[in-house]
Amino acid sequence: MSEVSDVPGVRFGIAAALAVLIVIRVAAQEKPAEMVGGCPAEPLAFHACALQKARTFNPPRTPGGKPDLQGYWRSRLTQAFSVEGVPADEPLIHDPIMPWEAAPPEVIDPADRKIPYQPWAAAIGRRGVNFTQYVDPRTTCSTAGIPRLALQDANQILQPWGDQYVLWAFEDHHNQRVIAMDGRPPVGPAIKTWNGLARGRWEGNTLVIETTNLNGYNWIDDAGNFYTDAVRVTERLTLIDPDTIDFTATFEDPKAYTRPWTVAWALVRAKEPGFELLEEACREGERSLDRIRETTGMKFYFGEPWRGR
Amino acid sequence: MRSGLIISVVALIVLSAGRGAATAQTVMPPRTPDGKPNLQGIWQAVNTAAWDIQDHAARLGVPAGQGVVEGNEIPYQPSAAAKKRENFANRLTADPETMGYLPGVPRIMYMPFPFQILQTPTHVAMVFEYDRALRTIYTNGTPHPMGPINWWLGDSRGRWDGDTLVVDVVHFTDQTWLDRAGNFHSDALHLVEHYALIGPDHLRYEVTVEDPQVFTRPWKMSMLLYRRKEPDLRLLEYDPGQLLFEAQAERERVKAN
Amino acid sequence: MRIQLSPGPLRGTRPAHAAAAAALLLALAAAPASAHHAFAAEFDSTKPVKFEKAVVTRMEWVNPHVWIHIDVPQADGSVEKWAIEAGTPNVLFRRGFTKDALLPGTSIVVDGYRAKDGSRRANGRDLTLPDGRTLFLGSSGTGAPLERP
Repeated sequence: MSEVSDVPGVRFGIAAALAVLIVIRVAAQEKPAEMVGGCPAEPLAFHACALQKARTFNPPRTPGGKPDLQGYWRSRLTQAFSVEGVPADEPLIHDPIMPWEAAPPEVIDPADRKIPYQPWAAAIGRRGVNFTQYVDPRTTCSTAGIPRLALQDANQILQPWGDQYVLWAFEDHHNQRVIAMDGRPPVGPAIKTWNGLARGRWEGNTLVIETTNLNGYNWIDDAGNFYTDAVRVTERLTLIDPDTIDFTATFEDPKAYTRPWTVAWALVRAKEPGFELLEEACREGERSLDRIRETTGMKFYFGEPWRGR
Repeated sequence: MRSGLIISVVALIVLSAGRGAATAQTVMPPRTPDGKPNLQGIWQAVNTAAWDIQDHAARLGVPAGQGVVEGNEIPYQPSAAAKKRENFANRLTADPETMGYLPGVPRIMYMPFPFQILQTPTHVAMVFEYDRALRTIYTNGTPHPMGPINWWLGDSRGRWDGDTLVVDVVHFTDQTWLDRAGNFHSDALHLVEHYALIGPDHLRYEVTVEDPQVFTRPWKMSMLLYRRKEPDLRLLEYDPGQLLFEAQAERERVKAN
Repeated sequence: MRIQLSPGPLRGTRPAHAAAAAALLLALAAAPASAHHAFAAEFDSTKPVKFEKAVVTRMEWVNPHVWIHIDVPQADGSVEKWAIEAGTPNVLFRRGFTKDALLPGTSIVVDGYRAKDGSRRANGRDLTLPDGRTLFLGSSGTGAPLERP
């Protein structure tokens, strides 16, 4: 786990990563770059740096010998407005009631940092039809979905005895995902769920989670970026130091995209003494949805813009 | 020589039978590496308590059932008994569960959906198919946080008493019912739950219900939880709130067209 | 992030419950982790509203958003009842506050943005305590996932 690979491709990868770091440093010269886990916070630079750190970091282990990712985590130095980033000239930054924050894209692949939508789908995501005509599903107290849950509020990873499952719990609307680590086959495609059905495996020190059976009824971010019920999401979680996880999620959806694409961000350990996840009921105390729908004429989403395609 | 062997074999059979009988009565539960009973797996109540925790005849859409309340009587204070009757009369619309809210504890334990228990040295997590709910039972010796707090599933702190998991639950809302029949509680509800394996696939669940604002004394429910053994079974999802919205969206779509 | 105190930091001594209220408001300010809904859809940024003499009548301590109910005395002696939407209670809880923190009877000055539907609701922005300290309510949130320590 701790040796640097001699595989030429990996050497090239490191060189490319260093090149990225240099470019980022040059680009961000005006103000010192924010750091997370000893890496630049900008998602592309972070991931490149994190890949290097993961090579030499030997993570703690569970009694069963698996990397121990347990604890409370928060996404850091990132935002939930748009995975394609929020440019400084975005008018919503100046919205007095709900201002967005300028931020770099979380998309790290493809190189243009944009979601590779098929043309019809680009008009729906990216502050298109979804954003203007539909209520953000999260506002209806649904789950924020995969992987948006890992952007919202604190979460907790538990690795129960036997290493047959990993439990990922989220404070956001009291959500949880049970990741089956026992090599089981997938269930039939007719079974659709909000958080998907996750099967995981260890690749070296990386927890790889494959999620299918998603209903596509939630969004990737506030801007209405989306996938359909044909999507497969592959997440990779790697500790790069005791308190930082390099998180990536790759989306494959032949209905909506022209190619797979990937986002990255850091999960940072929540270390406040006595920290625990708290119950966050949402539907139970939600008072605004009817008024929002009445005032704006916005509709429930449930994948309406792409269903039947 | 030969008869000696026969006698030995017979003795062995008798001994084995005796041990088997003893095992059936006092099962040695499977254990996690830290020596605690291993409750992990997918479980489900197979009773009618979610409709009515007391003895009841069949109603339309509701199977008849033998109650889970010890002695069958619930010691309501007089005003609370009247409230229960009113709840029952209005149950089809007044039950908070019909609005897709978290059903509260203990009701979530006997909803007709599977749930999964996962254990670490410091947590017993209960993961529910119903509403993707999660009960985190801390077994790390930490106390309840200071209230007042109104959580739909309360705050659960557990400890092992021998081979029984004992869970103390407080900090509830007054917004959940105990069943569809209108049995209810206030936010002063205090539960003490006991979970004990009585066989590899049977978990005895007992809960003492205390609420000085509603009942005249503590009372108790008791039932079995059954291990779901289908190969590769996993929890799916039932999101009641979103299913209600989806039905509403469909009505709006039909109306618009 | 929108953890702001303006015009200046808290200082001096004050009654315990005022201190609690101050810390509570500071905590509210740190609430943008959960911007649960389209505030921009519900509230009108061109219609700011300010209540110079509001009295807290009730705190609704519910997820996903706290509501502060206030009485607003009118010139003719009548009282208007308004509801101010604020952040999420879990953030407050983590700072050691419960629903008892902001007691009924506390006088506040509060401003924010009116609801588009004309009802007596507002999205809270700044709240001023009797001793003049002004605190950013930040109830609208940004959708950013962080409460940075």
